[in-house]
Amino acid sequence: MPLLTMNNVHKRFGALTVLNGINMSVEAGQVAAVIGPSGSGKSTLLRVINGLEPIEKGTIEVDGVSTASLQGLREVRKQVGMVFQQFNLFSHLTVGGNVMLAQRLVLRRDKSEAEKRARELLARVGLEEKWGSYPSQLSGGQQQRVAIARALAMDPRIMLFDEATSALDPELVGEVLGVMRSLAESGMTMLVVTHEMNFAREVADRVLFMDKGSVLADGTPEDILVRPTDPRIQQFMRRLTEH
Amino acid sequence: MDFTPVWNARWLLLDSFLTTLLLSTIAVVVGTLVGAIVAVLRTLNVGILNVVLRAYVELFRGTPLLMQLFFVYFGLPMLGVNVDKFWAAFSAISLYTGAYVAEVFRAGVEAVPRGQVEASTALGLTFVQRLTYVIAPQALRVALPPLVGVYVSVIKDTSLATVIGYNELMRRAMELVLQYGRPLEIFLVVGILYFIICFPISKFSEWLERRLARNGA
Ligand SMILES: Nc1ncnc2c1ncn2[C@@H]1O[C@H](COP(=O)(O)OP(=O)(O)OP(=O)(O)O)[C@@H](O)[C@H]1O
Ligand SMILES: [Mg+2]
Repeated sequence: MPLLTMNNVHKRFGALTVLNGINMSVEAGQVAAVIGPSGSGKSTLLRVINGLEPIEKGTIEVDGVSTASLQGLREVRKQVGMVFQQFNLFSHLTVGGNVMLAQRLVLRRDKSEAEKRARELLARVGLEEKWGSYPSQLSGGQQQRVAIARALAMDPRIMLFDEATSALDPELVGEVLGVMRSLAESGMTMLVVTHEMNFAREVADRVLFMDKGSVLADGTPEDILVRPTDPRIQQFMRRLTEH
Repeated sequence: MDFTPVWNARWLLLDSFLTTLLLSTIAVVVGTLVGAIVAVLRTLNVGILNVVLRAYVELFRGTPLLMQLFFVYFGLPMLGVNVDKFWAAFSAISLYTGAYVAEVFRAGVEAVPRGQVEASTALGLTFVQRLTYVIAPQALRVALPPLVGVYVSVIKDTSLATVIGYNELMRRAMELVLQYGRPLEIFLVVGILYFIICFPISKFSEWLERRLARNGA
């Protein structure tokens, strides 16, 4: 059974249809990259999975649990970690506080357990010495690595990344991609919206190309990125390499 | 300077001081409660509720407290609702303060980056947890200075309760001046008494501000 299943998912903002009947699934352990032009619905695709946006039609299941009921959605949010373009660390909490908060409140871990897990994960992203720092004292790359640790602290089954490196200075992109790569190698299931084509080619098992609210193509990185047959994908890839 | 009249009237002054203190406490405590509830309800973004709350805020900020006191105390009885002077002062002052506090809190809530609220939602925090652990601490830091401004100004405005027969500090001061003369001494003492109420609030907020600042850069 796939870990994530989306069936005929429709999402509108007013008159604008942003997801137009999405059908797709992701197997446990798979890394799927999502690419496509701006406004094609990539962010929305991720945001409906954990209910940051409600859907009008269709079903979404994570590990067999549907997001349709409030209780199901609550369960799904525990299983789904999310990393945002803008990091979104809690600015009033330290790095340690950021990584511990949801562990305490949602998983009801006691303080020492939450702290132990937080320190493990911060070590994993190379930031153990930043425990007491505030987000404003960190570089963008460091903030994003903390955000990844914060999501991982919930021990999610699947991680969603929405252009996790797009807001970073070029020299800081590598450190975040490095963490994502090692996460993929550790067997984490990942759905990654990205403009980093090298990352998609090297790390993803699979690439989804979105256009106007639909998954236009779904195949291996080779199929989609290297030898695309669809003219719209060809055009998209050409534009990317041009600048 | 001759403080004999003030000294002779000390019990009357104390009585009025306590009245002003009572009205001020109502303003700060109940007004804050009302304002916080309104601000929280407004974050729910429920259409019709929002319209009602917005109307409340605009109505009470857009009319003088004096008029509201008159309305409750003299106006409502015309509609068959009898309100004694305590409840008239209580409701008018609470609702008036609440409207200002609601706006201050709303500005604070809006200053919290949306992305942080979304991140906490994605992590599985409930509405109340998001409010308590993510929104409130950050909103409060922004709201604190203007909040103190609201308190201090409302405390001074409690003197308006005199129109419905409250012998609060200002009214008493006026009476004593008429009776004994000595406006300098009397108003000096009354000023100090107001200061005694307002100063701790400013001090407390300074302390709170420092504390909140330490918990986050
Ligand atoms: N909250 C919203 N209200 C109204 N329209 C929205 C909202 N969020 C997104 N949209 C619109 O939905 C469409 C899809 O947006 P989405 O953010 O999913 O695209 P995207 O593929 O992630 O684009 P980008 O590559 O620029 O991030 C866009 O036209 C966008 O303007
Ligand atoms: Mg996007």
